[in-house]
Amino acid sequence: MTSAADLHAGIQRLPGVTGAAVWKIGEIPTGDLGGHGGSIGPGLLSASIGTMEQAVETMGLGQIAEIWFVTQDTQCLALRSGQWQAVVIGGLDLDVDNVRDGLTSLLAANDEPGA
Amino acid sequence: MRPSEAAALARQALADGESALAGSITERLLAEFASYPPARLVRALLAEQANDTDAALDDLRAVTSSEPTNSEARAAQARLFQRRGDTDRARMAARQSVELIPNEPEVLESALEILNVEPDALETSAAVLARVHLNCGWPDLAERHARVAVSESPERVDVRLTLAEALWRLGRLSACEAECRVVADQAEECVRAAVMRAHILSERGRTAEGQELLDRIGRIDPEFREARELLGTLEVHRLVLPGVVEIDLPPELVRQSNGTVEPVAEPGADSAPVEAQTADGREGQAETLGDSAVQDQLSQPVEDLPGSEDQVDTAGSVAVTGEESAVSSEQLRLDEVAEEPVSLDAEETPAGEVPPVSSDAAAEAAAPTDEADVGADFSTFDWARHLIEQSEWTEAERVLTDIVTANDPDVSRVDGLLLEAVAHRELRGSAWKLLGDHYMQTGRPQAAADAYLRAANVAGGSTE
Repeated sequence: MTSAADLHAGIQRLPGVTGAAVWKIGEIPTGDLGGHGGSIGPGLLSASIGTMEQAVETMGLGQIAEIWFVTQDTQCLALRSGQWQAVVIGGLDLDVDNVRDGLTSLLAANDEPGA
Repeated sequence: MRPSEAAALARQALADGESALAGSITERLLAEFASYPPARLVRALLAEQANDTDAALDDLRAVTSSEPTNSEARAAQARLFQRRGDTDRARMAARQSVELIPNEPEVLESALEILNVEPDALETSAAVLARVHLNCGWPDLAERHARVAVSESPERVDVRLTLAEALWRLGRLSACEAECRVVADQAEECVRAAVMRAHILSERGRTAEGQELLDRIGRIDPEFREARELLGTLEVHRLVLPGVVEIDLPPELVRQSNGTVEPVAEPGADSAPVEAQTADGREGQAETLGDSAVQDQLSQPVEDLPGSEDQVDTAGSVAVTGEESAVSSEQLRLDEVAEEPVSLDAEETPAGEVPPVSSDAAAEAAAPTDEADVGADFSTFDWARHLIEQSEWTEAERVLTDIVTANDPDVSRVDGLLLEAVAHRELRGSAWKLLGDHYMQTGRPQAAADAYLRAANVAGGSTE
């Protein structure tokens, strides 16, 4: 069974990624957002995205598969695949399509059958 | 008379078919020591005889909480589950009983009957190997097998306790402490885990806290049997084992429990005949309970305890342990009890032999029923609260982190504890973060986001 720490290490190796948090549903998000937010950062960002997911579901719009946002100097991509969720951040030069593909493959490869 | 001797009398009466007498002695014992496992076990066996399954299971639950490795209690649970038609749980409890390697043949037979197997058809599991190696004094091998057993049956508190003890014997105190916490969460009154934690605290320089925890054990185990057994394996330790308390059974109960016992000596009477009579009484017990590990252990000085691979070490241990052993062996003599005036108050060993701390502890252990009913609780939650009360912030944060990591199914209990913690300025930042983690674990992202934000604000405020 893959641990969140192993998966996090794999995600960090994706090109352009400067920080990432990963967690299974029902577990504590782990990772490092490149120093942003310190030890609270991964949890805060994950919880905020989780809140948005909950709001979207409550409105009957279905389940969010992916969220992407950009600020003046950062891009952020959040993905869900099976029981895993991940949030990655990078600079403005981050190739989001490329990272999305890599991240999806990583999460899917580590998803347990039947989950 | 020591509580264990009174419990042995009750066991003897039960074996002789004198249920009323066994019940009277047990009630007398439980009036003094409400959680005393041997007494609750006898009461459970009496309830089993009376077909009161619920009452029996209640008592057995308490016994296995205090002594998760009590194979006789597990076997009794198995019989009761079987009687209820709950075959799965019956087999599970019977298997547990067998894997705890009972000393008593009848316990093993009872468990094997439920498992419906012959002894030579039993598979050797990792749990059994762990127990065997621990009993043989090979903690490193015990640890290896206990880890396998824990991974196979993470819900088995007895296996977890074996692992904790193996780690403790190996001197890996931090790992042991973590396992003890898990044990205490499942078996809140586990005496053995509490003893190890008390020792670990004392080794970290927090002797007063360790001593306090050890003293609380007296409410469950008034003779500190497990503490003596475990600490007796150490060459040196900083804890003071409290003095042994005694209980006075009404003379008619003592008389009934053994047909050869004459009336209790009156004041001024020659004590010699009483000594001879009570010695007979002890022989009677030994015959009946000869296979009982508890009886074996309590009938001997600590250094002669069976199953302890460190018997030699114990004999050569520091003065504290040696003195305690000597006191224990002397107090086992029933004749001394008979010579003493009848009193309903529990009594201590002579003042000169008991250190000051021990006196308090013994007095506490011998507290009247209302105080004894309070019981001791060694759960991680209570421990965290205790640390917070004592302003032990670093340790409290560590325990709180363990609680969140353990992901206790009682969500509201964890909520409550963490919300208590955030009220303390020193813990506020970490407690809000842990609360956020806990909310995430339990599928409450909005509350988690709020908690994390508060944690970030505390961190920001601290930085400023």
